[in-house]
Amino acid sequence: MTQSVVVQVGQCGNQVGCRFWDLALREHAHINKKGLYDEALGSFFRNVDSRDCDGGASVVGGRIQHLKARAVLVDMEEGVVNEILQGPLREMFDSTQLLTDVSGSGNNWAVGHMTYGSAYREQIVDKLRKASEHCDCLQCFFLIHSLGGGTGSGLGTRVLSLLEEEFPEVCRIVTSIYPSAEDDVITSPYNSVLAMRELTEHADCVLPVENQSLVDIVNKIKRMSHDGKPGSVIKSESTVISGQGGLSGAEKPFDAMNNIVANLLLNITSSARFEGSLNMDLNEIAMNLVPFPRLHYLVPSLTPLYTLAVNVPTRRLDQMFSDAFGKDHQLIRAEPKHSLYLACALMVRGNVQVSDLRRNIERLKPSLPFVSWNQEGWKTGLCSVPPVGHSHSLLALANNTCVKPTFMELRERFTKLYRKKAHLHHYLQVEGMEQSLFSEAISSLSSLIEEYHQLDATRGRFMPDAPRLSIAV
Amino acid sequence: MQRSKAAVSVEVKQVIGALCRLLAATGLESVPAPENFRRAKFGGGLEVEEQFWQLLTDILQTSGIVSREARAQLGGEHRALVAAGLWQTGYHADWMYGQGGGKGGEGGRFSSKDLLLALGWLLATGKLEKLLTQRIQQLDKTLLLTPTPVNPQLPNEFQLDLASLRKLQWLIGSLRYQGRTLLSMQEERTCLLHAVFFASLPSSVSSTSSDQGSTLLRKDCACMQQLCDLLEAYLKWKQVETVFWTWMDSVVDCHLTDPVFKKPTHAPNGSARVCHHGNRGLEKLENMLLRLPTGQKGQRRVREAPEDRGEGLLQCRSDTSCLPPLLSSFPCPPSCPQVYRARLQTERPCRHSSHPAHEARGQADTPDEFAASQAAQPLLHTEALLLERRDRQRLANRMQLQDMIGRLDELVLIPP
Amino acid sequence: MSIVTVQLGQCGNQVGHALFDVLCSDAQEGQRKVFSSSSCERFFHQTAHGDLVARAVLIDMEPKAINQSISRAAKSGKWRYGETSHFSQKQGSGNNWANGYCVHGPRHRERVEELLRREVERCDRLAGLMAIMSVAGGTGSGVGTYVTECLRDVYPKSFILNHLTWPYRTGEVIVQNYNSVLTLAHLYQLSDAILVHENDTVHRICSQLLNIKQISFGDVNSVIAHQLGGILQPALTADSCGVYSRNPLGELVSCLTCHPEYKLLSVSTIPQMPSSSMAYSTFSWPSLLKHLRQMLISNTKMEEGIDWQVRPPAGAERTRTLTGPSFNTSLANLLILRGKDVYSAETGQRTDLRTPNVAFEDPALFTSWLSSEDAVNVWKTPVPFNKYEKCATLVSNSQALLRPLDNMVGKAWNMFASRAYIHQYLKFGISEEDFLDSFTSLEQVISSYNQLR
Repeated sequence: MTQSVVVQVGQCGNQVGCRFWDLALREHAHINKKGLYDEALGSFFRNVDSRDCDGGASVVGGRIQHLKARAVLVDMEEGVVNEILQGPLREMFDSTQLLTDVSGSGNNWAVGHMTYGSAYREQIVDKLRKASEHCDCLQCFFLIHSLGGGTGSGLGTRVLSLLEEEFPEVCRIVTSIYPSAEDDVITSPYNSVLAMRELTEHADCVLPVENQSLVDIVNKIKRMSHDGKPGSVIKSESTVISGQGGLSGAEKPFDAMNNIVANLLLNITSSARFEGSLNMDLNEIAMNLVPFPRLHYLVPSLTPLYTLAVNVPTRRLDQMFSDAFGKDHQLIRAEPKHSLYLACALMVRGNVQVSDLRRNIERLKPSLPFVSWNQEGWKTGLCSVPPVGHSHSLLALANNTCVKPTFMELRERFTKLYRKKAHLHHYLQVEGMEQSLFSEAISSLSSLIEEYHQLDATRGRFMPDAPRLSIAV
Repeated sequence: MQRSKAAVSVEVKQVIGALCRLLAATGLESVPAPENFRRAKFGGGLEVEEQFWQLLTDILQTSGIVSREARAQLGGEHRALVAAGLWQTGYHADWMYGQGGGKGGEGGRFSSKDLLLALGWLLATGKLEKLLTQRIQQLDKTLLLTPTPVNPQLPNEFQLDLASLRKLQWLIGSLRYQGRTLLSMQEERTCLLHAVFFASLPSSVSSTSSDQGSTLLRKDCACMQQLCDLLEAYLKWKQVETVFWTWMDSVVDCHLTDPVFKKPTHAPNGSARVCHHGNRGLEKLENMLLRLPTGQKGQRRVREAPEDRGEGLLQCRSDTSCLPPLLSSFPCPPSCPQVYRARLQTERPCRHSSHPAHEARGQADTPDEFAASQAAQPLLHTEALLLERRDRQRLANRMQLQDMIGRLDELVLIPP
Repeated sequence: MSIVTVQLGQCGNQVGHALFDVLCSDAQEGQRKVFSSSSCERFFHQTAHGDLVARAVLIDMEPKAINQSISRAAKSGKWRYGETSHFSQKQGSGNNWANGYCVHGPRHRERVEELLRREVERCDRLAGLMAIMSVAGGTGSGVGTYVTECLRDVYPKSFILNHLTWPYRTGEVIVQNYNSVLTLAHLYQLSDAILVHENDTVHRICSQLLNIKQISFGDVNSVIAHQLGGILQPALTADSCGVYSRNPLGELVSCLTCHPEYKLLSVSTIPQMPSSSMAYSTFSWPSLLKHLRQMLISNTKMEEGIDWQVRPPAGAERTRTLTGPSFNTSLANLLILRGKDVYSAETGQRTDLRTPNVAFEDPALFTSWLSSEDAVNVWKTPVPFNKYEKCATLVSNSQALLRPLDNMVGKAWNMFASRAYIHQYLKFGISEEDFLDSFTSLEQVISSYNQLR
């Protein structure tokens, strides 16, 4: 069994991370009735004998004594991390996993990336190394951060490049929260574009998530649950936004949105943790969904968002598949059906057979435009353990050109500011920061957009097959 | 290629040595030493001849052409036995038809060279492979299937088109699999034998005394060893075979150019059946004719019996051993020897006149004189005909040769 | 005369487990001592306690599938895997052939070879080696190819059969065509015969013949195991002289894959029906054989929906226009008949004009350069197989796999033309030339099979 380490950077990153650990515990508590420390638990948690001050080795199969999360928490402000340490999850983390400072980054990418990045480099590497040493087979680093701020964006991407340097063989999957247009941080476009360049170059996969989509989904569910129509009573535990059943008691603001992202991460790793008839490992995701090194932005969508209290058979299953490609379930604001699919992965959890899977793929394929050389580009995984509160669920990861509009919007916002050189001095006065970084970042984004654009241009056009090799008889 | 004579002779000796080893490995008992082959080429005398008689008899008997009873019957009459056997195989030489016994040994101009040539014939017609097959059958107990006789000749109708090639590849693959199966069977057998052996040993006997293997195992081992030796010898022989045939060529040449008066005893019994080669011009013609590709290796040239009008048959040598099999399609000039014979026969009276000492020719004297005067015209006519035919044949053969060469990759030397 | 099986990757381990299940339960059924002991000897090794231990080595780069197979076997109570006959790592090959072939394979070579050696030494006589794997993933394909190379190195004179599962055409893995092309090209040089099952075909058998509504991989694997078992269980062959053949793999390849360019074998089995229907069905050899023959020439793998319009070309004239695109020309066929009254089954008698459609030895079915006597072989056994009173299996070296292979190569070539995903392979050590070489070899194979007509 492989292990993964979660690195949460910045305020947003840590909030999401906190929800993730809570839900992960809930899920494992649901499955693991015997209280044994099994391999599934081991992928995210260490079992520590509290008497052992070193936090020694976790033995699989023993009783759970003390679970510690395989995580590294980084923030340049203390607020969020302190909250975590005072909350019910405090036992999960020990001091060696935390890195905090007091003054924050002031929403400045350069401060996060350059200043703190250099200052804390050794410490960060040290903590990462410790975390990886606790694993006997480390498969993946999950980085959670937001792009709009300073710490998550700047320091987060610095951590990313450190990960690539120190652990080149370990997969790096980054969950990035993209700022919405109405973001209250004015310089978020700068931060985002500067961070994106790092993401394009150093990450193996990026799962972009837009705040606005999360808000929309939350609203939709709330509307649903307040609807009061007969037959539409939702099992409250089952919603993708619910944290019920976890350790935390009351729901805080943003918890609902963060729960969605946490569920995303749980579902991605489910096949690696639990058994199923068609396993899908994390390194397979990168292998199958990234045809060209820079085009590694995978649009996630989660279904179902909730489960009705009344059981409805197979139709619900098919509905689940249809929904996954609908606009409402994507975690960025995009319409994948109107853009070109380069590749798509379906991770199914629960009691679903391969025939159901195939049937639905056959059904949906005609309406989904795929690139000419990958007409049947589906990667499928079946995990037999469903998430809490559901009998089955589906996570779709699509490498789709529908990220292009998002990036173009981002570029536009950046350009609006950059043209006027607004707030630029805040960045340039940071040591190590140069104007060229801005131009390089924007050109990196532009070329990325261009690559997507070229692929997009082939959509709907008939592309003839490449001529085959001919053999002399 | 310029090679020193010494190098050539050394090579020839090695080649003949390989042949001897091979013959010995096939189980023949009386194989002459390589040196005796060389002596036989130049007429080695009685002991050499004796050895070769023995060898030929053995070969004929082992390959089933001559039965054991016949051998017992004819006893020391090697000549008759061998002659009978050789005739069965399609070989015809003058000495085979001379009356055996007589005063003082064989009649005619017989020498060990003839025996060498006879041996060459037998080798060329596949007797060697037959001996080999028989020996393998004796030695190899694991052969379950009835072995098909090895046919080293490709059928004339073999086409190298795609379909045949595929079929050939299929067959090769099939043989390969069979080989693997046999190998694994052999291994299993060995293991089982090993187990049996150890089980049958009394318990008090320690494993170090395993030197006393059972006789059966030792015999088997010996058989295997012999088999391996045999196959190795055959392989070696095949690699150097061409040199041997070149050497055989030289034996034929020697034989042809051998002047008759070197041999003291030359009493033709009854009608003269031996072809005399004293006439140089005739010799040259004969050489030239014989050097023409006259048939593929091992092709039988059965002489029609009716041709034998009691005058004797000419030995038709399949002097093709040095030629590659591709040239086998050359047409044999069947009519040539006839004409040849006719010519020589009419010639003979003239020749006889040069040996007045031979009393046996006395009776031919009169036909001599008679023939000589009357023979001139038809003789000249025949000569013209012959020359013409020869030229035509030569031309045709040459063209065919050119054709073949065009298709061959290697250099081929055309004898003049 | 034992076969050692190597199960590679998730699919290989699942199929292998299903196969041993079928073999064991079939061997132990009924009062057939000679057959049982022959079958058990072939696939199992009996411990001192009388347990049946499968002659198998389980290899995967991550432990889940192996653990599942081992525990399920142990639970069956009838047979089990050897305690130390498996090898796994923590992390898989990531669906990457190059990762499996260049990294995992060599890294673990010694350990794997040792496991194999131990298993082979337990056999009195090795009839051959069988490797079971899929071509879509990374371990089965990449590590499987590497392991087959090792097998060929260590046992150069043994018979090696590779059983491949080809994935659903609308993928399970996006880079499955790359992995398949690389695997097939390499295996063609190493293996003696490549036996193929396509997931799509087996899926159809499950849904249309066996009436399974929700088809799981377990069902698919059962069908594959049934068909494989029908080939591998002991039978009387022409060369086996009245006893059960002691050289099954050798005879199989000698019948079918003597030519180095034609190594792809496909399987059809008849009848295939849900066990509930078996009690109500009667079978007759002429009917079974008639359907099987038509299945062969029309290239369907099911006895339902056979296209009876497809006919072999009449007369000696065999041009493309006469044969039509759906006619399947064979190179060689092996019929294995098991069950009651098997000796009365007529397969090649052309003299019997009443049943002309039963003639398997009809030269019109075959390519011209191999005579039908060489091309058709029949193995029989009076012992019924896997609860079917009569069962006929056809192992065919024919154009049946030509179209799927062509599709696979075509799609992989399209992807290669755009250089999609290539960087993922290059970073593990293979080059674009290796890709090109593989494409070339497979185009050659496709061309050869096309020329059978």
